[in-house]
This record gives sequence, C-alpha cells and structure tokens, in this order.
Amino acid sequence: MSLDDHELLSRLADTVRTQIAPAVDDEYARTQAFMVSVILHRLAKQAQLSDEHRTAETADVAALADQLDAVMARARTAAEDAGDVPESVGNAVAHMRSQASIAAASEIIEALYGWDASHPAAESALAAIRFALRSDIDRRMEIAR
Amino acid sequence: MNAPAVRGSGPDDRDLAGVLGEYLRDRLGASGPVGIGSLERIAVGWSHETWLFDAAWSDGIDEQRQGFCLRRDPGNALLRQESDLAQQFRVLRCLESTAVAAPRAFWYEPDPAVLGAPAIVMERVVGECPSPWRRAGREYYAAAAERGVLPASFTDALAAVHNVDWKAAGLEFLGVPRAGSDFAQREIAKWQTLIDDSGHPGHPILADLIGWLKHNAPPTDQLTLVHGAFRTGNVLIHDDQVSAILDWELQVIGDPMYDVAYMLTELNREGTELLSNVVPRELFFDRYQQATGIEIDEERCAYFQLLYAMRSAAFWMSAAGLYADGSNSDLRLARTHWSITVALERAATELGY
Repeated sequence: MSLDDHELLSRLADTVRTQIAPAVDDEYARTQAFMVSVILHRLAKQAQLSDEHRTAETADVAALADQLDAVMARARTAAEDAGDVPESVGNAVAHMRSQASIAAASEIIEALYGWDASHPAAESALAAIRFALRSDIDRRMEIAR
Repeated sequence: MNAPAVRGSGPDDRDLAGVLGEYLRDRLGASGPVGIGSLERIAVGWSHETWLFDAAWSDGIDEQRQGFCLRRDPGNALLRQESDLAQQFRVLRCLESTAVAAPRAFWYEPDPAVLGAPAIVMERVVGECPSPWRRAGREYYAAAAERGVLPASFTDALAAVHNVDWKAAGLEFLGVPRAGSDFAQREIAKWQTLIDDSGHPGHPILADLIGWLKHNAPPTDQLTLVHGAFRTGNVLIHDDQVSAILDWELQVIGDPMYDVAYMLTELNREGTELLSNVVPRELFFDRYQQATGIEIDEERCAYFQLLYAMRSAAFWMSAAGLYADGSNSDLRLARTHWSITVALERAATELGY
C-alpha cells in the first residue's frame, strides 16, 4: 500500500499533533511542534487540491481575458477618441492570457487605476476582474482556513 | 521557555542578570553591586523582546528596590523596519509630561554589545495584559465590561492620547502630514514599502486594494498623536483601570479616526459586540467624543479599516518573508504564509467582492 502525497502529509500532521507535540516538555518547542502539524496540514490540502485549483484558474483566466478584451473593444468603439483606452491595459490583458495566471491580473489592475478607475470601461473591467479574484481567493481559503 | 538566541556579540541570555546589574550600577548611583532578581521574559511576541526584573541596591544610605522592564530589539523581528527603539524611547520621554498612561523610559542603549541588542530600560508598571485572542482573556474582558469601570478607563486612555498637545510635547519629530490626504497616502506608502521589502510576489487583490486606497484617500482635518495599535492586549490593566498603554511601535501624528477605526473593527473582537472585547459601542462614542471634542466620522473609519486590511497583509507578508529568507526560524512566522490569504479574503470582502 502507498499513500498519495497529500495523504502522507496529512498522516504526518496527525502524528505530530497527537503523538510528538504533546510529548515535548519545553513550552517553546512544543508550540513549534504544533506549528509543524498545522503547516503540514495546510500543505496536505494544497497537495490534494493543486490540480483542481490549477484547472479552475486556467479556465477563469481565459474567460476573464475574453471578457476584458470585449470590454476594451466596446470602449474603443464608443470613445470619440480612439486612443482613449491606454495601450498598457490591452498589453496587460495579453500578458495575463499568455501567462494563464491570475497573478498577472495585478498588472491590469495597476494599468486601470493608472488610467481612470472611474471610467465606465475601467469599472466594467474591474468588476470582471473582481469576480475572477473572488473565485481565486475562495479556492485559496479552502487551504488557508 | 527557551528564548531564541540573541544576535550580535553581546552577552548570552544566561548572563543577562549580571550584565544588567553592571549596566545599572552607575545609572542608579549604587554604592555597590546591583542585585537582579525575578528576571523573566514575559512575552513571546513577534516584535521586540520584553523582560521584567527587580533590581536591589544600596545608595550608601538606604537599601533600594525597583521593578524594571527591558525591551530589546533582536534585529530579526516583525516590523523591524517600522519599530525603532530609539524612536520609542524618545516618544516615551515626550509622553512623560502628558496625561497619557505610558511607562517611564529611563535609558536607551543603542550598542548591541552592551545588553545583547539595542535596548530600552523602563519602569515596570503594575498591571496585567490578558490576551484577547484566548478564551481566558475574552472572559476577563467580558467580566470587566460587566463591572463597568474598565470600559470607561479604556476609552479615556485613548482620548488622552488624542488630547496630547503633540507640538508642546515635542513629538513633531514623528513627521507631520501636510493638509489634505497626505496622512493616508503616507500610511499607504509605509505599508507598501514593508510589502516590497518582504519579497512576497503580491496578489491582484492587494493591487486592487492599494489602487482603491490611493484613489479614495480622505482628507485629514485634524491631526493628533495616533497610537496605531490601541486595543486590548496592548494595554496593562490594574484594578480595572488602564495602568499603561504599551506597544509604542506604530505611533504617528495623524488622523485620530485611524485609532478609532481600530476600536471599531471586528478584527479586534471575537464573539462579542463589545469594541476591543470590552467597551459598549454607545459608551465609547459618547465618552470619546465628550472627552476629545472630536466627532467620530464612521465613513473615514470605514476607509481606515480597509487601510488596516492592507496593513494586515503587509504584516503577514513581512512575517512570512522573515521565515522564508532564513532570518527567523520561529515556525509561527512560517504559518503566516496562509494568514496572507485570510487578510486578502477580508480585503476582498470589504471591497465588496
């Protein structure tokens, strides 16, 4: 019989919590041992959910990039001045799409605030990004809570 | 408990009593050796080390005895960039002439070779400091709230901070924000620096939060001394009265609503409507406004609560970074890797998503 990584980590966390930490007399070392258990438990969850989260993130990023491209295209069409939407926003969206990582949304957000966060297109873009970020943080909270 | 090893070329903790006796001999005007007793490290905090001890000596006429508190900066603690013992010492000396309940600071020793690390020696104030994060602490504060004395004293202690004539007290060296939104912008910049220094890659929620904070920074119409972390757990209590406000690490001249927001935030209470676990909201509003003449602006407080979300994220990023770069081996710091997620989730919720 063998254990998956997350099962092994989870088993180790339980062993440290129930057998090792309580046997440590020194208060500081005992607290540290309990911390080991907590950290192993988090890592176990991370290992367990890693593939599922990565798949969800990839899908979310692709959908978000499509939405943002559409928002910016509408803004360009609507704007009297075709240069109204800064190039930095479009570049940041393209970068996020190529990275397939929600972390790259930071660059878009900074570009939007650097442009005009109260512009209707920027507001729409931020709303779409926030929707995707809510999903991302909810996934992260499955591990952190 | 084993104290973490002290950095630098100073004395080992095992010799600390002897070193303190030598350090205090001339300073206390002792005619002979200074005896150090009951030396204990009381807090396993993430910032400065805190030690309590009693000193006994003869001044040539009478036998003297006094309790002291030693704060040392090990150089690898949380908020090391923001918390300068030299500044703390100066602030505490400035507060001596005010109505603020703060410990008297006697000596600042910058040379790490003398006391093992840069350190302040200050008076040992009578009182206890139950942790509001533990059940026993919360029960303590709930019982004190029932008795009704501590809620008033706690509120008065904050009002005293905000009533300080900071110019007369010599506190201008803390930096005085310009008119407008400079105070908020300064705080954002301060925590941005801590985040940048942490080595953490950041997260888009943080980028959104910072962008929002910069674009919505409120003007500050009144400047006061601001403690920066006024809550239960950071004050000493004796006979249901605040005997000393502790943790003078984040004080600034700024918007008093920054402290008030910290009173109002849900972050500083667990399972209770009592502000900071001890003060009924209505009592706080009435008493604080009457004592200070400052009207509580809940809209500005809401803004500062979002600034606290940024500050929390910065704290945890800095803490996790200390473990990640090998400067501190305390595993509680390693665990804060996931506290960052919790802080970001709270920020997302407060931003409305």
